[in-house]
Amino acid sequence: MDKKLGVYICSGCTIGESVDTEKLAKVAKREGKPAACQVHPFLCGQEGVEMIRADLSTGAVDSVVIAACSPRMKTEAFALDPQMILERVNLREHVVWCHPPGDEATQMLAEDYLRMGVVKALKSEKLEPLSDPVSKKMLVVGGGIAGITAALEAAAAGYEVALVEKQAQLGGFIATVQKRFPGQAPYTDLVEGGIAGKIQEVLYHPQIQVFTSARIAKMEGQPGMFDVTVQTNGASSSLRVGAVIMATGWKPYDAKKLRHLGYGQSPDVISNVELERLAAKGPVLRPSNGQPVKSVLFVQCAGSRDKDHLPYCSSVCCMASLKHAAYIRKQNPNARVYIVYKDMRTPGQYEKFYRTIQDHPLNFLTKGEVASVEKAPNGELAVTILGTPLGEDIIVHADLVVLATGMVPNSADGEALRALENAEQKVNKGESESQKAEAARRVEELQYHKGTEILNLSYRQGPDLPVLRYGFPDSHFVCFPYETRRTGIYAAGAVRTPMDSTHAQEDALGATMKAIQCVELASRGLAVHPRAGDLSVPSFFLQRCTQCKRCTEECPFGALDEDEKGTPKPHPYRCRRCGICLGACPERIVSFKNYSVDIIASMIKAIEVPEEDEEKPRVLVFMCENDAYPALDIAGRRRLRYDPSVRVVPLRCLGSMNIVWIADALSRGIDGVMLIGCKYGDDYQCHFVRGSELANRRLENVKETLERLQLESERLHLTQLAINEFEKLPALIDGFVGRLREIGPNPYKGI
Amino acid sequence: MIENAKPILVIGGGIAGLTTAIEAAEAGCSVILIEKSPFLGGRVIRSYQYFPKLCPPSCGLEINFKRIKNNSRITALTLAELEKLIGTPGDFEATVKVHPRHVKESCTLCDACAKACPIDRPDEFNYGLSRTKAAYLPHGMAYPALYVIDRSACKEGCKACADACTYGAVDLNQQVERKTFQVAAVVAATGWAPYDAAKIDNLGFGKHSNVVTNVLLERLAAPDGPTGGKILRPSDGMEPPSVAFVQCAGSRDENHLPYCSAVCCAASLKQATYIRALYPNAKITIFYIDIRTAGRLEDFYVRVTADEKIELVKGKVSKVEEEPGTGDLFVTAEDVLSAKKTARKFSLVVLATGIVPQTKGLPAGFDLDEFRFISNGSGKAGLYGAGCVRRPEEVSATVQDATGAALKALQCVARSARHG
Amino acid sequence: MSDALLLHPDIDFIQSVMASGGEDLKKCMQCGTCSAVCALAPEDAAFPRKQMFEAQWGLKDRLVADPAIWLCHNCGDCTSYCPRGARPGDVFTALRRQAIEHFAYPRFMGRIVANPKALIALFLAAALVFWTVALWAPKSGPTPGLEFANVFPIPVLEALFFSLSGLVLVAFGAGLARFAKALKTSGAGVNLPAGLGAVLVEIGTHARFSKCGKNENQRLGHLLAFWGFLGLAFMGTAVGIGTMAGLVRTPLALGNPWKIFANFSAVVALAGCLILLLGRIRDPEKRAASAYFDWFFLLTLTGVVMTGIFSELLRLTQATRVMYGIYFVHLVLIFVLFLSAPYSKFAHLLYRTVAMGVMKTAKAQK
Repeated sequence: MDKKLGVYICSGCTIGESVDTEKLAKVAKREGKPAACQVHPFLCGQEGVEMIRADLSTGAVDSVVIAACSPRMKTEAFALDPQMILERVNLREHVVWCHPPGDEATQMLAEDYLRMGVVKALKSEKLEPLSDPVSKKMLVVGGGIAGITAALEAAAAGYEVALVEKQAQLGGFIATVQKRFPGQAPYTDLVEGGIAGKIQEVLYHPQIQVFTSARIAKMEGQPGMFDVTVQTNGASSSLRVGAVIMATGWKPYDAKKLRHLGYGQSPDVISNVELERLAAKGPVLRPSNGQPVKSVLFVQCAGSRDKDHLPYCSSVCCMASLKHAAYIRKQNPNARVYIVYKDMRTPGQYEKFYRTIQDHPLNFLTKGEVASVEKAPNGELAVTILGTPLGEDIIVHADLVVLATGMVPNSADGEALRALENAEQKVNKGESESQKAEAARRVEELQYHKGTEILNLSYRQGPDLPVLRYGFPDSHFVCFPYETRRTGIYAAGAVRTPMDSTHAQEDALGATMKAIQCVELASRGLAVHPRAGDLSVPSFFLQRCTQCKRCTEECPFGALDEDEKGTPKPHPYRCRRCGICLGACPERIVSFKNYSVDIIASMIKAIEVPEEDEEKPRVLVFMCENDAYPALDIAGRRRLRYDPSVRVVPLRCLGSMNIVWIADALSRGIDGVMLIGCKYGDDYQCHFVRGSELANRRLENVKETLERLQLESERLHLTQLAINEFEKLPALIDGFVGRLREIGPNPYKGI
Repeated sequence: MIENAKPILVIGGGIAGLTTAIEAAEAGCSVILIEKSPFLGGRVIRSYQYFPKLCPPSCGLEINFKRIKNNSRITALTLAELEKLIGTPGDFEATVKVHPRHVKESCTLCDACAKACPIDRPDEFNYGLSRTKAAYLPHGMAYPALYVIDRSACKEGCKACADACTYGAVDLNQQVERKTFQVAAVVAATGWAPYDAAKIDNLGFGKHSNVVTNVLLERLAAPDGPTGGKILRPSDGMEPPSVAFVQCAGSRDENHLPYCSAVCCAASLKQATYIRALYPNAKITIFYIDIRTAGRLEDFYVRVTADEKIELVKGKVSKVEEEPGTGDLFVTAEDVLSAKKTARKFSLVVLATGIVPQTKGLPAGFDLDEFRFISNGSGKAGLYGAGCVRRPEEVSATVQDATGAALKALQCVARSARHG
Repeated sequence: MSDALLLHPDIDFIQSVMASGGEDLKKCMQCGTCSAVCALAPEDAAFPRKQMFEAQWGLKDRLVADPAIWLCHNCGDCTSYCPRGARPGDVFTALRRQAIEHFAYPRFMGRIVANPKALIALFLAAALVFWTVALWAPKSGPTPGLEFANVFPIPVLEALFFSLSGLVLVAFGAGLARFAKALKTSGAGVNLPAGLGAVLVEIGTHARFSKCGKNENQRLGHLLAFWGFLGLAFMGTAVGIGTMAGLVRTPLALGNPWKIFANFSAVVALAGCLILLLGRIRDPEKRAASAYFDWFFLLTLTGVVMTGIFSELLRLTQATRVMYGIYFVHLVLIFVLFLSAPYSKFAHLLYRTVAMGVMKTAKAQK
């Protein structure tokens, strides 16, 4: 389609004094043949914006290039039609604020950026939102305190809910406890479980459909249109839901693994969950002889904070044991209760409950490490405790020992299950014997995942949510605790991270909110976090697809499935618009209407590369638009100076970098290419999880090809940069350009 | 479903308020977000890094600000506070007092006003460790990206900034404005303030210049902070070869804050990594009662304490005294596990001060517990607390809580939309 | 783990400590603030944190034999800085009382003094004694004017008090012997003579007291009371022996240097007592929230010196026979003070001396 382009150049904020804006206008006219091209001294001011609006309203212009400040600035002023093509050229932060005014190099930089902006606008196409019918029904998996809360809260917000519980009754763990420790003021007294009422509410709620003794046999589709098959003893029903809340809770760590603490050695050594069960039935008696309990010792961190068992802290055990101390106290005012802890962890207002329990004359709390639990001659249990505040090791006798065992998430490792499946296939039809053997070994090692499936997603990347360490599903992000790698599926409660019932209820609220948000955005055809509201979706030109499976493997969000041949089957509602598929594809068949291999390649072509003898190197810099690009803006605002021979191309994510661009750049005589993206590794900061890591891997491959072309691999460089490391940027850039000057100009110049 | 229904009022533009506002808006609610300071980002924007990932808060805030820019449903008012709230759940009337910024939307950050301004004043963003002009940008990533003029600091009749601004963005005659909004629900995300360490008379803050607080250390560590990211002793600008962290400085203490502030343990471990990253030979000692790194934060605790230059001592510090002349500090504590009491010398002492909920001036209807944190559930329907104003908690727990609060508010909106 | 110590909490001990002034004992969370803030606690054997643990866990045998509880001068720094309000200072007061009662000889006396009701009996007994003396004791021929001797013949009093002192000394001896034995079994080396000199100097100057952060004038009060009573005790004994040997004839003339010294001591002692009393009453934080045990001792002490001064003044005025009544009270108080000495707070005089000696020898051995 033929665009009516309007190019508007601002000469304010010292742009006019630093570069020749009239010359810029000429460049724009030559490159873009714009229907309108104006220079204005104060473009973001009322008059400037009116000028643009006027051109749009008369229809003289339908696509706009604004050459002024950073696209991160003045977004309110330049908020025109969201579907219209609007390209911002960053003349202020990236040109005039960080390069000498009136300098030729500065002028060339500005002209290149303008050309790049114009060509991008010309190549982009108008966006239309997705508009499929969307179900807003919620699926809640798990009928414990978190699941029940999620179901009720979603219903209270006006949404239909389906609740799936594997047990015959709802209620989960909380339904089995005598009391709960106080999550609310005054924090001193135990409170009722209070779940029975909620269960009734759920069962009789007109908007909540309950499946008990049920499992999910299959789930396919995408946000707004998940098709779920639920099996309840024999019968199977299918539903369509819009989003999923996974509240499958936790299971206690297996106390049988704690023989060193006497479990299994004496019937009088029990776990905290077993104590809970006993207490629910009536007064707690000594398992060995049915006598009333006169003294109890609680061993904290039994199997938690222990590299041989659960390396993490289970968060709830301290409060739980304090609660259990209250149980014992209630049934026997004269019982001696000992609690041996590594660190007493009662954060926030919980500290008051700790104080309340501690105050009783017959409650004995101490720091220490329990070394052994053995039978004492008198029939009691002798507990040896090391490292006490007494400065010596002590032995305490008790007739019941309770191990405060920790929480293990009821999750399934989707990626491991997928790996297992792959391996199993290889065992049969692997190419070589060695490969088959390797596969067999892999199967062996992943075997224990078999049958753990919960969601049974028909996703190419596995049947369940990917997990972080220790089997807890997403999120890895501090700022975005509900960030998930499976769009539309949100974990809630103790499955997400160890937490008590109060926090689980609150967590259910949050996860439900995200699920609601997901279906609401889907219903408007918009992307969810982090590119919330993005209208663009990738399209795949499948005729040219070679079934290399790179896109389907590399998509961090499992948005792409495969047919049996390996051709990608996109699910736009799962897509997070990062463009990693675009970067992965060697055939360049993936494109967004406003972001494609061709668009970026054309921007690179728009860069004028001076002849070799001019000794003006040209350096292409691909920058993550989320962190590195803002960092360069801040550098500009602080008027930091750096070499003007760089040309920055912002990318949605470094992972969307297609190596073709590097080839294009180098073949055009550009002297080097720099990639600046987010930190990767264990503490990755990439908003799309693996973007910068993938870019780095691709870069390694390109470097090999370079060598073959007699090009120095030093011409390519990737750096990880956090948004607050702006002050490092000038040194980084100048350093790289300096190295290129040493290497000498790109031999392909002018060919 | 809730198109053109009544909006939600969110009080406080810190990470909790931002989250509540954005999450609700992306689900389709309209939101009025009011913040009393001239910028959004609250306490977290003042921090250098988050634990356990040691990543910069500005990274998440950049995304959140982008989400606000792309979302017409959010009206963010800075320098604004709630003056009056009347009405019933689903149908409140809120009167918001907006203080003059004296700089209009047309500000382009050109910095001309600041250059022209003759006055300089303590920079509260850096807890007074640096100074700004009376016409200033609150900080490097300030959103909204507009300068502010602190009239209280101005010279009588001075209008240098107004004359300097070529965009007519300075308006020294701006007056206090009152706006009223009909809102369906109110979320208080007014956050926390650090406990006033000067009240802890035995720990020497305010008496000895090399005793700093954990929030101050965040600014010292930040690249955009007063020292450009170098952690230096206030007294003589020396790079501290030895640093003591005093845990529970005011927290878990009936003479100060009886509750545990929950974040200080992980925060001090994090700050220990700042110092270790800057000064490879620096020795660090953390004096604690209990190390409280719950859940998966345990990994962080293990990782940090694996550094042999970071030592943990179980024992609460009772005294911090300055060595005359050197500015070094003697820290007295008993190592509880060995029953040895020592007065050890350090060149810098960091007090891990706690979290004080900011509930003063909240409208009636919010129920406060004995520590003045908001208790949800027991208060008036339609009013919810979110984040550290409810309980001391770290950032991701705050965001989680704020997202939940957004749902409670959304329910009110939905209900009021259904019933009229 | 054979070397590990088998702990079996002595519940009764915990409860009696909590009942006798240490009711906040259990609030302690072992943070160590108290030991760190205490000016008197030595670095290598810091207190009171560890003793708080032992008390919480009811380890009576260790505590009563622990010199540390006597090294505490109850200046209250620990209590005012304790983040949990566990009031270690008060707990230590209670522990000292427990120790005195524990080592008391004969035991029943310990219990009587410890028990307010039984104490009334003690006073009645004393009253009875002097009533009897007043009524039936043979008087040497009437002297002109009002003289105490007319009602309370000097020889009788002499006999009475010297024998009483004898008993008291025996009781003290036995108690201290038990204490020393306990110290030995607890491993503390007792070699009094070695440290005694230094200890006496320290006591004489109240050097340790002066280290106390808070409670400044407590030191002054204690110092005055201490020296005042030492003076009076010395005079009492000297004059007693003198009269028996017929060297002195009481009452002494006002101008007599001995008399002047005695009166001076009395005034000093009174000043000391009043300062201590006021300190206890005024104290806003009730830092040294004193148990009954404390009050009893301090009040008897003050009573003794006040009634003494009173009766002397009345005798000098020769105005009224009321002076006999006052003197009677004076005698009763002295009697009770003496009799209860090994079991009341009075005993700290000796226990603390021994404890300090132990610490000194411990240091010497290092």
